[in-house]
Amino acid sequence: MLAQLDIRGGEVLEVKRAAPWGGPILVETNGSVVAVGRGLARKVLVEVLE
Amino acid sequence: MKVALIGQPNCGKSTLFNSVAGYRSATANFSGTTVRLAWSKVRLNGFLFELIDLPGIYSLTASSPAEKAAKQFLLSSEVDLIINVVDASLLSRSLELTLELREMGLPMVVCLNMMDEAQRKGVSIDSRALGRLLRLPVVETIAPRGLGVRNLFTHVGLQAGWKPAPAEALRWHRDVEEALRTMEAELDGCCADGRLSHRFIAVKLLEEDGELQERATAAARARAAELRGQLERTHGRPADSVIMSERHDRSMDLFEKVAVVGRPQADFRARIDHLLMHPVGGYACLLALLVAFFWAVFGVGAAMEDFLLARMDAWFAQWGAALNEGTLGYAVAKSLWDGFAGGAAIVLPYLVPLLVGLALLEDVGYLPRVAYLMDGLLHRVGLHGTSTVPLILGYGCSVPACMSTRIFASRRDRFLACVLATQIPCSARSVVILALVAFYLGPGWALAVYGFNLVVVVLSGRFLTRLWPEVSPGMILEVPRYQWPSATVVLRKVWMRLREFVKLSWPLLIGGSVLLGLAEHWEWTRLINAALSPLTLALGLPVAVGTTLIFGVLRKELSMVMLVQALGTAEISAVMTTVQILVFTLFITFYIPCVSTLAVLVKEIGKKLTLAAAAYSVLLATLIGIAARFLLGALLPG
Repeated sequence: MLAQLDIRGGEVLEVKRAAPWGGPILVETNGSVVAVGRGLARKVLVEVLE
Repeated sequence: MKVALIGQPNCGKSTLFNSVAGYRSATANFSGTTVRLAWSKVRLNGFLFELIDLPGIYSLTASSPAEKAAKQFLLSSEVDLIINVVDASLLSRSLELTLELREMGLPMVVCLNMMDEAQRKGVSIDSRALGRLLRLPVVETIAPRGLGVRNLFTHVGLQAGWKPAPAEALRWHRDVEEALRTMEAELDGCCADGRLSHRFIAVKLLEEDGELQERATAAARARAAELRGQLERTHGRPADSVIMSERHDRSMDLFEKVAVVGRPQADFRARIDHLLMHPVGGYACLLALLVAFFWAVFGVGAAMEDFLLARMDAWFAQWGAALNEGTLGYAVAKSLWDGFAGGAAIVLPYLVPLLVGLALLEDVGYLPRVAYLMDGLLHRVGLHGTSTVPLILGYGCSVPACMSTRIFASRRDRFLACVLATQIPCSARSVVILALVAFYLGPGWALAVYGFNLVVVVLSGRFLTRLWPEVSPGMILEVPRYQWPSATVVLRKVWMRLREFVKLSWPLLIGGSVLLGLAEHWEWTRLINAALSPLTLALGLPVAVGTTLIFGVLRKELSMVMLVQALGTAEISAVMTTVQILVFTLFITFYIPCVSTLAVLVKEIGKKLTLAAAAYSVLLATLIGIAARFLLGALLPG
């Protein structure tokens, strides 16, 4: 499901904002914006670019 | 010729559909699915098309019921041509579905929609080059303005019957391609259904697709397993993941060849999001919006109700004078008129503005933002943000709200969202709240009822998640750009719901009203009321109200209209106390969802769970009613 939305290995992600109260993270990749639940987002392995 | 529109969610399929489909279009249940697909006959450029709008999907690897339905429709029925609608501003991602669809080997046209959005993002696309590489017609459109739509259908007409030819640019890496070719060769002579390409079947077998595996022979399955093993050994990950990255690589390749990414134009919509999704401002805006929404609906509704009720009464006084009170004829005429007038003067004034407002919010793209804001809070109730969509839709009608739970893959999430969505006051119950509580006791009380309802829904959620604990997978929801609501789409949505009221509920309302009129005339109501008196007495309501509760199971607005009839006066505040009005409304709001909702629930979550949900709601409604009676009775004079 995440892969279908372009969140997968090798992709550059930009975290745009995070919702309060442990809410989702708003992530942008290749022009689309996806809200990803905090628990799920925590499991995504990322390398910080900037 | 059957033409299916298919694309990822929010790519503008429905806008395209609505721009060509006439008002005669209907939604229909196709065999084997419970998902409603919109279809319409369209005559364009001398061709007659049967256009089918499939639910948005990200890929043909189905996980949710909506995706399964779309896939099943493509696989099984006689679709003659696919229009793949692509959001041009999200080209690289969207191409993956295009490639997957192309593999099927059905005649296909690519519709590059939202070209204006792409431009705004600084993406310029050479659609001719894309067409050459894909070896498919690619047509640019801007559906909301109708640009390119006629051209699109010219190509659809020309392309009919032409299967896509093999394309050099789409070939996969050597080892994967080889595995695929071997598999294809294996399929020769068997599994041919003539419609789907061998390549597609081979790919799906390598991906371990359940549906196509069932159709394949044991030999083909064994061979596929062997090849899968090979791929997994050389790549060190599952075969379907290998194939997925092949498609991804090809899409990125194509994208780089045909698109140039420049500087995006400043987008004022980013600034809107900055406010509407702000950790503080976002909630303030949400609250302000909901209150404004309520005031607007109530303001318009109350003004219309006042005006129309007076008009209707005057008319009946004029025409009914010819009949003698107390005769059977009078009872029938009066109740016929009451049913009709109830629909026109009490229900429609609130229903129309409510539906228009909800359709606007839905079309603009605000709902996913609400889901984003509410996710954190909903987690404490055991749900996640995506469930706000059914909950908000629940304010319109429980039926589409329950249907929208199909986007959840988990059965438990579907059940929870369904039960909670049916506890949200739908437009019919809002009519009761607005026409009864707001009209007689003031809008403040009505807001309190809505607020209290939300509290109960939250507590209900907490309680039910305790009963059925499970780790929720969490939310993944695309947040689309805002778009100007299209008048046709909004009007169509409103009309769809209104049509249901006019065709189904209004006759029911009139029929129910006549039934009640006759029952009163022959004094049967006394029996029904006596049978229900334990309940009405426990709730502290007038015994005459009993029958109206029964009718409420058919349609909730019936209860309201019948209340007027059962009490024999439209001046309800004269015969019922403030507490009684509130208890009545609360009970109506929470007890058993109406018949049509029950029918949908049976389809969505099954008979057993529906029964459980209904029983739960009656229990809850009774407890809340009794509690409200004593608590409010102690607090309020009279």
